[in-house]
Amino acid sequence: MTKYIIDGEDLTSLADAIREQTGETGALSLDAMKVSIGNISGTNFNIVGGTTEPANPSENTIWVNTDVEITSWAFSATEPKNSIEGMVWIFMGTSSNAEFNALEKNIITINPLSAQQYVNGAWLSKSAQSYINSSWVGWLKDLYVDGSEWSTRGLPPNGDWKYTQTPTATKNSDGSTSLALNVTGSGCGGVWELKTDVDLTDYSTLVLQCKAESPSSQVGEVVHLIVMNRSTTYWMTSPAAIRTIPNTSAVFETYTLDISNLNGKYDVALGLRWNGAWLGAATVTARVYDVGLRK
Amino acid sequence: MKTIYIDFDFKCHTINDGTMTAVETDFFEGKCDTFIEGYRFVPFGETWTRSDGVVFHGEMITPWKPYDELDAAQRIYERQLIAEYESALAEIEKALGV
Repeated sequence: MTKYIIDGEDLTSLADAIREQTGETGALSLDAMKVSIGNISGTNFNIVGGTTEPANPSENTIWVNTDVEITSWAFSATEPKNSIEGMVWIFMGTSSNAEFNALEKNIITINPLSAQQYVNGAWLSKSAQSYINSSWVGWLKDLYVDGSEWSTRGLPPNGDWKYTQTPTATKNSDGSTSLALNVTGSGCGGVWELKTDVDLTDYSTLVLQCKAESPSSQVGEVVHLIVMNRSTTYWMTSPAAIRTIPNTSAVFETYTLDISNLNGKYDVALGLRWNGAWLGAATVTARVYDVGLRK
Repeated sequence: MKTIYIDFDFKCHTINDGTMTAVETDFFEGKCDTFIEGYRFVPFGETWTRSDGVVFHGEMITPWKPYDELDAAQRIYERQLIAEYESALAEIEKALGV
């Protein structure tokens, strides 16, 4: 390997210095080092990638959960004009669970709401957390912790639907939980829901990170993210709000539901509904990575 | 299924003014006009941008008016329907002499 020398220091030493400042581990490419240097100089935060929680992070570290190298970043309320491969776009709002001051001396208050990364010519949603007051703070108010706070309910169906798997405290190796809903008849019915109602008053957006997996013969089964009153029985015609989750995504995606006009306590649930010609019994799985609320 | 109409902002209407798109959905089965017209229906494949800049993708059906108001209007409508049905039932029973 060729060693590049700058004022008597080689890049290895420079990378060591960066790692000491940022808490990052592992090798750093030149592009990653440029990002880190930009992070350190004059600002009160840094942005790191990776799929495992950074060890020894500094205050206001933003960790974007990604296996794609971060080449640059932008804080913007609108899509960055000059997007480049690997860029992270942090969407800001007027309030957030992870508010922080971006400068060392003066004040620029940043309210991060969501992160996306430009990969292969498209923006992909990424989960992110901030290290604030010596602990990691999610940008979402998490409604999903370990599965035990959720339960299944077989609602009186317009058909004959059942759930087959009760969520447990055991997650998949990637941190998700698979929720299987068994279809034995047309219509819609059983849901997987939070055991207690959630007060949506201070929040504007319900966020779900999941992918719906169904047999190719059952593409008419559609997972729905539902907000309703707990007394609701046939949820398709009685919810307060719904968002459909396509069954065709091969990766985890972020789905959002506007709840800005819902105040008070509601039941948050995932349900299954048949949308199309009946093709026979099957099992559809909603593989959930995270569910949360955003201000 | 019920036919409703959505405008350029995806707000729902029960009458088409000639500029709207018709949508078939059973989400509004049994719902009164006041309830329906307080909702936004973003079809699959479409996006809607909220006033704070957050972008939402369809299919999404969610209130754009305070849901409490819409729910209250729907309950009044249902009580009126029940009263009408009971009145009609009473007339039938009277006619039958039961």
